[in-house]
Amino acid sequence: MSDKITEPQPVKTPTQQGGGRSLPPAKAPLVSRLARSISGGIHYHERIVGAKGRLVAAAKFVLKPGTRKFRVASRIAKTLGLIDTVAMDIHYWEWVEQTEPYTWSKQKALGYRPKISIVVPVYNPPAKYFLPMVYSVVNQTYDNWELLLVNASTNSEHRQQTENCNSIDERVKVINLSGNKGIAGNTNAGIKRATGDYIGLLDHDDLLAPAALYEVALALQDSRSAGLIYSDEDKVTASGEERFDPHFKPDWSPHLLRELNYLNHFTIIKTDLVNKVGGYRPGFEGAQDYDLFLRIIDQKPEIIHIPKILYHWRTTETSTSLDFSRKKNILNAGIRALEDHLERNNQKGTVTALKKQPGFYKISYKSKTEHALALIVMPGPISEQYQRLVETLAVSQKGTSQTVELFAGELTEKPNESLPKNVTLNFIKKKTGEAFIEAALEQTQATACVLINSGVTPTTNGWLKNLSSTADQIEDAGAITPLLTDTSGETIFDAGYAEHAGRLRPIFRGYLKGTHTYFGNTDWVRNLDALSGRCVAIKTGLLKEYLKDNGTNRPRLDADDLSEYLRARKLQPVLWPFVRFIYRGDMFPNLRSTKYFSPALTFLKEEFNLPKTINIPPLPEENDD
Amino acid sequence: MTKKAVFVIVCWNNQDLLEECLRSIHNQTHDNYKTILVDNGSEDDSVATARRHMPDIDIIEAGENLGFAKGNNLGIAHALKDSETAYVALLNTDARLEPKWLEIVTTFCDGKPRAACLQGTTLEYYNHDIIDSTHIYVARNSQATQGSWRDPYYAEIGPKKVFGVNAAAAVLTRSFLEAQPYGHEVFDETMFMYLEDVDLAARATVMGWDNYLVPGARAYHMGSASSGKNPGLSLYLTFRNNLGMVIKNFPARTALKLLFKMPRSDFSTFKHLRRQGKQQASWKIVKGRLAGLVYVPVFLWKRRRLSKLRTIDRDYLWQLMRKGY
Repeated sequence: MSDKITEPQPVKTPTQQGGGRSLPPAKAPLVSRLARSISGGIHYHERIVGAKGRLVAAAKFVLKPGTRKFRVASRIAKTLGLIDTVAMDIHYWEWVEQTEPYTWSKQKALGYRPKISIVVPVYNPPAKYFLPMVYSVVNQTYDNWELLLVNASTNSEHRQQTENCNSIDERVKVINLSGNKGIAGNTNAGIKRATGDYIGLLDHDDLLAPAALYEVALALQDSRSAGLIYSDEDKVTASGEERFDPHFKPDWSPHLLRELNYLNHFTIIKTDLVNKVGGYRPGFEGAQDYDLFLRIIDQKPEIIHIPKILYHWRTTETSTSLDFSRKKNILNAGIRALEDHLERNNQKGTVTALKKQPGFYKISYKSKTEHALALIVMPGPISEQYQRLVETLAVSQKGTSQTVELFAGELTEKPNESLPKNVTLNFIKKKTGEAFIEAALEQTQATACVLINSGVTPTTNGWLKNLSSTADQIEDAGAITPLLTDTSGETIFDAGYAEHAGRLRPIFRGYLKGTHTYFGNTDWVRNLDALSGRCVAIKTGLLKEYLKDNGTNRPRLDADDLSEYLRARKLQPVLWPFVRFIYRGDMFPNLRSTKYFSPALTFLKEEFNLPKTINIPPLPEENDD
Repeated sequence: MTKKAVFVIVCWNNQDLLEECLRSIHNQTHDNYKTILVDNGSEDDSVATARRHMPDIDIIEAGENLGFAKGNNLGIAHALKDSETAYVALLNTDARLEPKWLEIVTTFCDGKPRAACLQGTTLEYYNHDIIDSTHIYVARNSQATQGSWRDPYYAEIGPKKVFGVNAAAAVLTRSFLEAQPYGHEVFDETMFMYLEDVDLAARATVMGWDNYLVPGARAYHMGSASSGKNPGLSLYLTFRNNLGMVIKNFPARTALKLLFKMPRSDFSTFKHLRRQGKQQASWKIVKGRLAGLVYVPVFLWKRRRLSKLRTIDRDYLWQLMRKGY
C-alpha cells in the first residue's frame, strides 16, 4: 500500500541503537501519506474567526448547544462571518489540492474521438443541484458529447427548468416524457434517443469532474472495443463545496461486484452493448444500475478502469434517508439481480442482504456434491493449535450430518476432545509438505478441500462448509482465502496480497476489520493477486493439477507459486471475509527480535487504545511476511 | 461565411497605447470585423493616431469625457445599427489580443443560444505567466472580485460557465444586447466608471444568460491604464457603485445577505489599506459608501425594471458566487 519512502534523517533513539532499525520519517511524500491514512475521517472543524473568539465562546457557554436558540445564534454568527464551519477530510483535501491537477492528463489531440451520450433521468431536482450538474457537463474539456435530459419531472416548475436547458447548448437535448415511468423506464427512454458510441450515466444532482470525458476518451484510444469503463468517485457535500470520502476502486474485481455495486459511478458503456442486453429492466428499481452492470458483465466485455476521481456524488437529505418500505424493495431488487446473475453463470447459491447495510449482499454458495468435506491440516509443530482446531470442528460440525474427512500428520498425542461421529480422522504417516497434500488428495473424493496450516483457528460457524462450497462453485476464482485476524479477532493480519510496485504486499494488515477506508471497507470480498497459503480452500482437481505440474516436493505449500499458477490459468484468488480465522502466531514477528523492544515504538494501537486519528505508519520492508 | 464582429474601444488620452491595440486587432485571423473608436474628448493625438494606424476605423468623437459606461454604450449602439453585426467585442486601450482570439471565441459561441458575454484568459501584459483575469464575480462578502487575479498560468483553463466577464477583452452576443431591459444603456451610466462590467455580469446571470470563459483565447492587459493615475478615485467609485450594483441586480434575500456582510468586508479593506500606509485612500472607502447611499433611490428604481426578468434560482446564484464558476 505504501510507496517506497525515502528516509531523509532516520531518528535513532537510545533504545534502538542496538537494533539498527530506525523509526519511520515524520514527513513522507504526500501520496504515501494518503495511502497510509486510508481510514481518514471526517473532521468537523469550527474555526472562530478574528478577535471575536471570546465573545463566541461566551455565547456558547450561555446558550446550550443543540437547542433552537443556539442553532439560530450560530446561523447569525455564520452569516456575519464569525464562525466558519468546515466539514472536511483533511488528508483527502490536501491530496486533492496538491496532486489532482497533476493526475489529470494534459490535453492533447486525440486520434479517436468517440461521441459520448450522457443520459440523465431528471425527476424534480432542486435548481441548486440540477444546474451545477448540467453545467458540469457543458464545461467538459472534451467536446464530443451530448447530454440527454429525460424530463420526467412531475412538478411544472421543474419541468420548465429542464426545458430551459435546451437553450444552453445545442448538444443539450431535453426529452419530454408524458409521465414518470420509474427510473428504469425514464433512463431507457433516454438511451433510445442516444446517438453516441458510448453511454454515460449521471444522476440529476451529481457532478462530473471537468476532465472526466477527456480521460474516458483518452482511455479508449488504445482499446477502441472496450465495453465498460469505470472510474473512481468521491462524495461532495450538499452545497457542493467540500469533497470527501473518495473510493479508489480496484482494476477489476468481479467477486467484489457480487457483494456490492462497486462500479457505481462513473460508468460508460458501449451503446451497442446496452442495447444488446435490452437496457434497464423495469421492476428492479433501487438496484437498476446493479442489475444492468451484472447483465453487461455477463456479456464478457473488455473492461477499463480509470484510476482517477472523475465523479462527485452529492450527499443530500433526500438521497441518504430512505424509509423502510423503500429499503425493502431495494434489497429485494438487488437480491433478484444477483440471483439472475448467478443463474446466468450456472452457479448455485442463495443471496441474502447483509443486515444494516443496504446494498451489500452475501452469497452462500451450494456445494456441487453431497460428498464429504475434506479438511487437510498441514503437519506442524504446534499441537496446541491442533487441539483448538479439533475443538472448533467439534462445535461447528455438531448437528450436521455431512461427513468431514480430516487429514492430519502423525500426532504425538491423541486429541483431548473426542471427535464427533461424522468426522473421520485419517493419518498420513511419514509425509510432509507437498507429498503430504498429494497423499491426502488421493484418499478423498471431495471436489473441494480446505488446506490449513497450523497456527490458525476458525471463529465462524459452518466455516468448513462455507469455504468448501464457495471454492466449489466459483470456478473462476481458483482458490479462496478467509480473513485472518490476530488473537483479538479485530485486527486484520492476513487478507491476501496485492501487487504494488513490483512486490506483493499484504493488504490491510494491521487495520481493524470493518474499517471504512479510501479503498473500500476492509472486510469486503476481493479478488487478490496472491494468497498467503495459511488457509486455502481450493478445488481438489485444481490442486492435483498444480502439484502435478509444479510440484517439486517442497516442505510447505508455496503460496506464491500457487498464486502464479492460478494467474497463469486466468484465475484470480478471492478473499472470502465471511469466514474468519484467528492467527495465533506473532503478527509482527521481526519486531520482537531485539531485547530493547517496546511496543509503543511500533504503534500497535490495539494494545494501547490510541485514538483512531493516529494512523499506523507502514512497516519497514523486511516485514512483508 | 464567418459572422461579423465589431470592436468597440473607448479612449481617453491613450495615444501611446493605441498603436499596439489596433495592431492586435488587425492581426486577427477572423477577418470579418470592423472597429469603432469612441473618443471621450481626448486632448492629445489619440484620434489622429488611430486613423493613422487603422484608416478604415469608425471614430465617434464624444467631445467630452462621458465615462467608460456611456462611451461603450455609444459604441455598442452604433455597432448594432449594422444588421450584420453578430458580436460586439469590447477592448480596452491597454489590452492586446492574440491573433486567434476572435476566431476561438466566436466559434465557441456557435450552438450556444444563451451565451451572453465571453472572454478568454486575460494575462498580465508585463508577465505572460501571470493571469490578470479569467472572470469577474461578486463574492459572497459583496465585493466585486476579479477571478484568478495574479494566479500563475500553468495550464489551460476552461471552458467554464462563469458569473461574468471582464470588459477589458470580451465578446458580447447580439441576442443578449437586444434583450437588454434598459435599451441602449447596456452599461449603467450612473456608474461613471468601475463596476459597470460587474453590473452587466450580474444582470446577465440573474436574467438566466450564460457567461463563459473560453479556453485557448488569450489576451494581455496592463490594468487600469487610464485611471491608474488616480487610485483614490478608483476606490471611491468602486465603493460607491458597489452598493448600487448589489441593490439593482440581486434577488431580495441574496441582496440582504450581501448588505449584511458589507460592513465587515469594508472594514477589513480599510484596515488593509491603512496597514499599507495609504491613509487618504482608506477614507475614500467611507466617502464612496456614503455617496453610494445617496444613489440608492436611483438604483432601487432601476431594480424594478430588472426584477421581472430575473429568473435565476437563488441558491444556484449563491453557489455561483462562491468562486465565480
